[in-house]
Amino acid sequence: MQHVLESIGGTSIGNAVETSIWIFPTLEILHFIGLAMVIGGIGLLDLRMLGAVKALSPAALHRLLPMVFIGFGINLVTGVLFFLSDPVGYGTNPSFRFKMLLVLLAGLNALWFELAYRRRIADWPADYDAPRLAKLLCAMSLLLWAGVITAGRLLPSFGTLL
Amino acid sequence: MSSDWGYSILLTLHSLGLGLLVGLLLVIDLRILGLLRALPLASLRRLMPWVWIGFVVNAISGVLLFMADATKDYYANSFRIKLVCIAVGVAIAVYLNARVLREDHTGELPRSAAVLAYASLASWTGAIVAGRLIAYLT
Repeated sequence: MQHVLESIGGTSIGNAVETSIWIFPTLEILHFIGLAMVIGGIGLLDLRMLGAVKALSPAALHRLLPMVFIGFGINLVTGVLFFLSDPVGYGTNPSFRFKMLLVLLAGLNALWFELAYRRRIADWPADYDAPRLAKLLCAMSLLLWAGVITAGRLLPSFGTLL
Repeated sequence: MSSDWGYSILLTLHSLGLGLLVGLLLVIDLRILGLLRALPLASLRRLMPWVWIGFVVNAISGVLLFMADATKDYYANSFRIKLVCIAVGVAIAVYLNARVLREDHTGELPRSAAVLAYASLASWTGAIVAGRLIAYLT
């Protein structure tokens, strides 16, 4: 594992991110903007399904999905670039590994919601009270994404990042 | 800084608040700009309490983060620019909430509403950019 991580570290892209003064902070800024897009979309749909803002219809909020994908795409690309700047530091960081696990679980959780409700959501009336499983999945979603943000912010508190 | 953990927890809260505050205002701004027309404008008023929760979380965590580095932050241009961006962003949010989200607009919105929505997006982007740069330029 260590060898794999070290060999990834030698790439020119990784070196550029590591050595440039501007690239890393710029990527961080984009990562925060992507965060707002993901949370503004998924977090809002989750809150609605849990009954918080019932004036907003689930079907309308479901249309925020493209914004969520754009935000996630931004964070995937910027995240890979962070990783390439210090593969050993990230790869061996427990908070980073935990964050990746939480991202995976959040993705599977969202996929479950989609597969279960994607077709039905358009038929739900605006003030619909969601089924219990949908509420459970959305509560999990909120917790998982909050965990992703927390684990990401705590990255420097663990391990030996540059 | 006496407590690295306290500092990290404040940064975490500041990021969670950002997601709520900026994420929801982003949805409101995009709707005003004509996307997501399935969402009635007046219904978006219901998002404002959540926006203010995000704002309060970030105001409190922000004050505490400032107290940890007060002398450094106070003289940093990036910190001052961030505060101006937040003030402008909040003023626009209050105005849009009072004027644009209040009435159930059916037709086209006045052009000034779109200008304010763009200004809102610019302000919060500016706050994120300046905020991140505080860590690098102080």
